[in-house]
Amino acid sequence: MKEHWQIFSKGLIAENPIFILALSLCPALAVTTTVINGLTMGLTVTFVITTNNVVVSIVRKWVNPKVRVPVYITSIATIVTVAQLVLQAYFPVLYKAMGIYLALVVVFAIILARAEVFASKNGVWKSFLDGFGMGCGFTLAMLTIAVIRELFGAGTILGVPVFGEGYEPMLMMILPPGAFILIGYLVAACKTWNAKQEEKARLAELKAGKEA
Amino acid sequence: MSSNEHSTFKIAFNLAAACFISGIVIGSVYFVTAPVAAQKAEEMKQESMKALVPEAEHFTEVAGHEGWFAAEKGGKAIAYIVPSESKGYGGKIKMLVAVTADSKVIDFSILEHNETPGLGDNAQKPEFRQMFAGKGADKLTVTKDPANKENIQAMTGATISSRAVTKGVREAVEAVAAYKAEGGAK
Amino acid sequence: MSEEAVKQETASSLFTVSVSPHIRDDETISHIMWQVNAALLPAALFAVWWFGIPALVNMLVGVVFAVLGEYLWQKGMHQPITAFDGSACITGLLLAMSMSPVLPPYMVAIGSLLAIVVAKQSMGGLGFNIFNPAHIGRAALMVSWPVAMTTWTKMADASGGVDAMTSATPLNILKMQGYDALIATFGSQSDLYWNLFIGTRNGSLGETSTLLLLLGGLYLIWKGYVNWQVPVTMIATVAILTWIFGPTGLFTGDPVFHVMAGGLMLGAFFMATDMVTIPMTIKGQLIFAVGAGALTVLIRLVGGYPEGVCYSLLLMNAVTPLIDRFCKPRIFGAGGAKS
Repeated sequence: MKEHWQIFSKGLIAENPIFILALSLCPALAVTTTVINGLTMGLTVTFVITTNNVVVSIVRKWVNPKVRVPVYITSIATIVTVAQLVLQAYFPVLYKAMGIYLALVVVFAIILARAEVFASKNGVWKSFLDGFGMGCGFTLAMLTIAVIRELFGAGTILGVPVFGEGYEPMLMMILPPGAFILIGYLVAACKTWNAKQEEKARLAELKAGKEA
Repeated sequence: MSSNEHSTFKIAFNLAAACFISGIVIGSVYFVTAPVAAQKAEEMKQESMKALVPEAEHFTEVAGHEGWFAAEKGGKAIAYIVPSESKGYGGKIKMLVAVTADSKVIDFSILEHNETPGLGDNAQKPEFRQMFAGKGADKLTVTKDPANKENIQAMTGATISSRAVTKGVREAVEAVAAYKAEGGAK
Repeated sequence: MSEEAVKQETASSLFTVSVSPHIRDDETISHIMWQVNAALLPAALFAVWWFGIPALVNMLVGVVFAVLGEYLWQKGMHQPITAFDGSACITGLLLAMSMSPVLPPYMVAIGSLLAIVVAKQSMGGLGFNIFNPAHIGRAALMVSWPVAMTTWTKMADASGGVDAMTSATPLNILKMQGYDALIATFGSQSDLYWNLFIGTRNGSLGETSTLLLLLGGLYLIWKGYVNWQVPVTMIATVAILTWIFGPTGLFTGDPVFHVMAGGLMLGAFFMATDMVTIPMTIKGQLIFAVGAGALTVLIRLVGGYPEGVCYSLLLMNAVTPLIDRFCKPRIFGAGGAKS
C-alpha cells in the first residue's frame, strides 16, 4: 500500500511536472489567467495522461520496441482528440478559451515521458497511479498559478469578486510577465520545500543508524 | 527468432493496428459528439444575436451578404446584424454590429480582439457600448472632450482602440444604409 | 616622444578606468549612496512645493516601503542587514519621483516592494541586479495600472505663468495634438522653455525641474561619483536625433524641448549612471548612453508611449552584459600584442 501511495504522491510535489520537472511551462503561462481555464486544462491533462498510461501499460507486451514512440504518440493523439471532441460538444465556451493549447496537449513532454519511463515497464494499476498522480500534480500547479493570477489580476475567484468594488485589478498578473515572475517564485518555493524534506529524511536516517 | 521479431511485417502491422484502433475510437466519438457540437454552436450564435436584439423573434440570413442576419419580428426585418472588423492597437478587432432598419446602432459585441487588458479591452464593457446606442453613422466619431455628449467618448488611455471600434461600427452602419438604399430585399 | 613617455601616457590613462587596478579609498558604498540621495533632494523638495502634500506622501511611502521590504527580506533570508545603506532609499525615492504625483500611495508601495524584492534582492542584492530596480518597479506599475499611471494632476494657476493647463504632460500634448498645440498651451516658445527649465509644468514628481536636477547631477559629477560622459552622451544623442527627425522634415525638430521634457534629465543623471546596471568600461558606458538616448527618441517619436526613458534604460540594462563582453579590457602579458 505504501509503495502505491508513493507512486501516486511523487507527482504532487517531489516530482511536480511544472515546478520541479519544468515541463509544459507553455500552457502554465498561457491558460492560467482564470481559475476555470487552469482547472479545465489540468483535468484534461490528467485524463489524457492517466488514460494513456493505462493504454500503454496494456499494450506494452505487443508493441514492437522499434516503433514504440509512434505508437505511443498515436495513442496520445487519439485520447486528446477524444477529449477535444467532447469539450467542443458539451463545453463550447471552455473549448474556445483553451484555443490552440488543447491540441498541443499531444506534444506535452510530460505525457510521453511517463509512457516511456513508467507505463511501458509497469503493470496497469501502477501505471494508472503514476499517471493519475502526475496529472494531479499538474492540475495542482495549474490551479495554484491560476488562483493567484485571477485573484490579483482580476480580483475574482471563478468569476466571483473577492475584494469588493474598490479593488483595482493588478493587470500585470494576468499578463505574461506576472506569470513568469509568479512561476519563478513557486519553483523556488517547491525546491526549498524538497530540500527541507530531503534534509529531514537524511537526519532521520542518521539518527536511526546511530540508535542501531 | 529475434530477427523475426523485428521483421518489417511485424513493425508495419503494429503501426497499422494502432492507427486502425485510433481511427475507430475517434470515429465513434465523433459520431456521437458532432450533432451535439453543431447544435451548441447554432444555439450560441442565436444567443449572441438575441443578446444584441432582444425583441427579435428569429433571425434569418440575408441573401447576397455573407454573415449578415436580419432580425425579424412579425415577419418584418427590424434590425440587421452585420459582421465588421477593423485594425486596433493589437491587431484585428472582429465584431458583430446590430443596426436598425433606419441605420442606427443598437449594440455591438466584440468577437475577437488583442487589445491591451484594462485599457483597450474596456471596449466590451457596457459603459463604452451604450454610447453607441441610437447613433447614426454621422455621429460615430471619437472625441476626447469630456463635455461632448454627441459623439463617442474615447476610453481613458486607449484612443486607438476607441477609434478602431468606432470605425468598425460606423462601417457596419454605412453598409446597412447602402443596402437599404439599394432597395434592400424584403 | 620617447618610447618611455608613450608607455607612461598609456598607463596613466588606464588608471582612470573603473576596472582594476583599484586604489583603496575611504569612500564606502553607503556614503556614496547617501550623497546621491542628497543630490536628489532639491528636486524632491521642489516637487513637494509644486505638487503639494500628495508628492510628499508618495515619496515617503516609496522610501519607507523600499527600506522596509529590503529589511524584511534580509531578515527572513538570514542575510546581513544592509537595508539602511541608502541604496534602498534611492530606489524608493527614484521610483516615486518617476511617477505621477496623484498615483494612489498604495500603488507606490507595491511598486517599491516589487522593485526591492523582485528586481533587487531576488537577483542577489546590491551589485547583482541586472535591471535598475526603480525602473522595474515603474514598469510593473505601468503594466498593472495603466490608467492610474497615466493620469496627471490638473494644474491650477500656481505659478502665474501658465493658465488653465490641461491634465496632460508636455510630451503627451506633443504626442496627441502636435507641436503647435504645445506652444499654444504654454503661450510662446520661450515660455515653454522657461517653464520646462524651472519646473513649473506637469509631469512625474521629480522630472519637472530641469534646473534642480542639473544641479544635483553636477554635484555628483563634481564629487566624482558619476562620470560626466554618460549623461552628456545620452542627452546629446537625444538632442541630435530629435533635431534631425523633426515633425516637418529633416533638421526641423526642437532639441531644446526634448532635452528638458519628460524624464530625460532624471534618467540621464541618476539612472543611466547607476553603477550596478551599466557597463564597466568607459567605452561600454558610451555605447550604453548612445543606445539609451536613441531608444528614448525612437519611443517618443514613433512608439505608442509619449515617454521612453524608462523602457530605453531597461532595454539597455538587458544588453549590458553583452556590451561588457564586447569592451573587455586587454589582459596585459597574455600575449597577442601588436608589434
